[in-house]
Amino acid sequence: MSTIDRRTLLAGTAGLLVSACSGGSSGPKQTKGPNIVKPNTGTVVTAADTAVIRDQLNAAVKARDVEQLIGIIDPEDFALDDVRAWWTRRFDNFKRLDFITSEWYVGVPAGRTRNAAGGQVEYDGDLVFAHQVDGCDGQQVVETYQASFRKKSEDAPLELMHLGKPSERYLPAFWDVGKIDAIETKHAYIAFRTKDAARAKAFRDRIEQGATRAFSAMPRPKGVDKIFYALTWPEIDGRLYGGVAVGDADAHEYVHRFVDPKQLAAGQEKATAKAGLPKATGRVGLHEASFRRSDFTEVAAHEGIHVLADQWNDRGDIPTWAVEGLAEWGEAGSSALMSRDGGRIRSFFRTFEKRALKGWKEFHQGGHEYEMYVCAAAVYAYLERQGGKDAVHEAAEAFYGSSLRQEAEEKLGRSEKELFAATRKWLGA
Amino acid sequence: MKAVSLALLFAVSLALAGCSSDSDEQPSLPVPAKPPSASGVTRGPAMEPTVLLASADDLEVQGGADQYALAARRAGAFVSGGTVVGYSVDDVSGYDLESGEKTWTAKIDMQGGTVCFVSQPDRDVKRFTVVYGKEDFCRYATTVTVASGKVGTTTDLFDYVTVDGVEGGGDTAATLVTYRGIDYILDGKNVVWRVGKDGVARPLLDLERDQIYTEMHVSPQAPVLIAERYGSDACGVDAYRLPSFELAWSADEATMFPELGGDTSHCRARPLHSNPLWLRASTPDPEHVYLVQLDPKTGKVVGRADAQGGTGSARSEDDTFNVVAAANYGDDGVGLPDGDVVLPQVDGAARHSLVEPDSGWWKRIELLLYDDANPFGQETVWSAVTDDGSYVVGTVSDETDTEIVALKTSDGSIAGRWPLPDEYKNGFQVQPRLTLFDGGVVLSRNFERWDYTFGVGAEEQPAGDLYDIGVFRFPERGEDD
Repeated sequence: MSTIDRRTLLAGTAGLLVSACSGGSSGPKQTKGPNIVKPNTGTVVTAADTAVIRDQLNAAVKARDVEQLIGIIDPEDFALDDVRAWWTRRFDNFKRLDFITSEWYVGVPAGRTRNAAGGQVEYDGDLVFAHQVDGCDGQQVVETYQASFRKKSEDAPLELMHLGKPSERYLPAFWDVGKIDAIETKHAYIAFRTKDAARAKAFRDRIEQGATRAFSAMPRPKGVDKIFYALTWPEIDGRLYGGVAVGDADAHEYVHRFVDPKQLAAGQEKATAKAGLPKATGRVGLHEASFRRSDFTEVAAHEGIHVLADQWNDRGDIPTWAVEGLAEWGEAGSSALMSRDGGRIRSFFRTFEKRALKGWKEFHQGGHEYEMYVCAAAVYAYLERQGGKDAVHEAAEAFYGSSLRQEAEEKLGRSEKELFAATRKWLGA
Repeated sequence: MKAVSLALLFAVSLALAGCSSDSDEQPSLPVPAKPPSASGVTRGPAMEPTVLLASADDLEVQGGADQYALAARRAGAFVSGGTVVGYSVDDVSGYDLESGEKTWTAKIDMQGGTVCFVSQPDRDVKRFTVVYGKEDFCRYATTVTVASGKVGTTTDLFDYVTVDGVEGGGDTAATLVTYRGIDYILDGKNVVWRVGKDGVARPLLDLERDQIYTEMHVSPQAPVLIAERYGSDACGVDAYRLPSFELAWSADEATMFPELGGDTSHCRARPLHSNPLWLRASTPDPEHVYLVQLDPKTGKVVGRADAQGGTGSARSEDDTFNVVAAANYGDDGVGLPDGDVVLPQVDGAARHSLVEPDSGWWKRIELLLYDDANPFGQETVWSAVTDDGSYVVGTVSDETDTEIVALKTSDGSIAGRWPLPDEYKNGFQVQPRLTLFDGGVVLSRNFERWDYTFGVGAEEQPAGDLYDIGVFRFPERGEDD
């Protein structure tokens, strides 16, 4: 009992004394939160600001009005003459090429877009210009321009201070190199310098026949019912966007891989992720030499097939034989191919097998280029014989849509070597 | 009756013990009477925030910019009198130390630029200097009055200047040094600018114009500025007396580190930020780390240590100074006036002297911010020493939490541990900057570490309100202390 008393007394007394001791502070401590200070907003460039600029740019492009475009840019911009020259030509061509739609995207800023003191903000950032040839391009084709922006104060509008030169990465387009016009057929747009109008009209039907043949050989990419053909000339052959050194080629396909313009505006060069959309498109350049060829229709079909095959183009390591063989197979069809070149194919096929497994150089530059083309086409003829056009398209998609050749082989369930061996057996070579 | 008397006697003695501290000399930190554990989770009362500056991240990205791509975001603070001066990105504001009220925001129109440097006075000052510019092009210097936030004259350091009778182009600021309350700016051409009482920065003199200085630090030991020299055949450091900026001595890398074999293809000697009179260097193959300590008066090597590389991340088995860890964490410690440094070790802390290696201490510290934390994910930074030299104060932080820790300078024993309150800790993880004042600390967000830790492709940012600057007071000592 005494123990309990002692504890009780001790606790009570100590509590009393401690309370008295700490009596410097009266009562329970106030619980007050900290002062939360919000930063001054100041001058901030918002999405609404950039949307205004974008709308202004789009209105100018829609009106094809270069002075309206110039009016958006700071009058002091040193590059106005360049802008006027570039866009005058473009708008002039776009007025004739009224099947081209386009729009601007304001890119991600390269610097800060805020001034907490409320003063001026000035920064650089790209503008993305995206165009689409209606019926030819399943998606928009992009290009970028350097630009500078300014917002003078909190309530001031965003201003476009400078519209610079386009990045050479995506240019030039056919409509940037001359006064361009076009005629439309059921399966093609045929674009040409105005001085080449007579030739364009003269070859219109044969180009249409080639395009029709390409569409009959290939599955139709989503949103695509036409192929864009351009009548080029030596000074620009191979030099348009998507071109490569073409040597003495009579025609050329200029690949335009689709990049998501919104992603590009955000600084990321990425393909659009939407399933079912083509991954790339292309423009056919018909060089002057092609018009002297007796097989012009086949040439138009061949290049058109390249364009349509780009619907699967995933920027991988596509075997050259798979690309050229598909176009060669499609331009004439298996029966015509084999009746025309069966003997040549059989006699050359073993050589083809060795060279085709290598690269572009071995395919094109080892001599017997024509034999390489037709042997490659024979592989697709074999596939068509085995499984119809679906088998051809399945193999082509595997090669076009794989980053590595080995990956395509895994998709097909057999190696290129095995595919060639099976073709050889079918050929009796 | 006897029992009552005993109880009263005990209670009175208890009460006297509690009250007697009022009459004793107060410690320079309100550390608990009973030292906290040097391991495990913090259980003590949390730091008490008085004012916090909310982050402007959301405002920064409204125009579509990626906040992690925004270069040159910095935050920091100093205390002068009753005012905390805090800066973050382009906000420079004053806060009342007692009430936590914001008293002013300096109207410095940085034109979209950001703060590069702000004075770091060790005493009360009437005005301070802000150097700012766009994207690390730090060309402007202006002054701000501490009491009112009034902005003074702005100097364009990039203008033509006349130094020693020679006119030439200016340059952007490379660093700002505050010595005895006066600010000196060193530009990229090694011209020293002195910020006058009128708030105008004027070129004072030209240091060795043909040298390239990459970093400059004031020694805690002596009034000398240590400038890291860079260039072929010129690796090393130069020491300038303050405030005259006369060259005091030079120390070449080859002399300090003969083990490097005279390879001058690139400079390898680097001063520790803790004390720039300590330098580190390493050889890659075989990997070996070297430390030297220089005499502040002569620049001669007065102490050295070395170790095989690759051991710096290992836990210390024998509770001894880990040379590699010291080199790795040499910027995260604090220098003492006697030349010693207090440095983080992998699993502890050390006070060390290369001159008298046995004079310091090594303490195992394995703090856990929360129960299942990975101690290797925690980063310790010792930032400050109390005015009386009794305690070293720093932070232990990871991606989630931060606590303030105090060590006794004399023996390294843990003197205090204070967590941050959960609702006000966001922004002060991952090595926050710490400014110590009498009664608390100012924490500021470490943008460099933050962007590295929570940037694109890295960890997800902690959820909740985010702060750039926070003034925290130490909790009052509990009655049971």
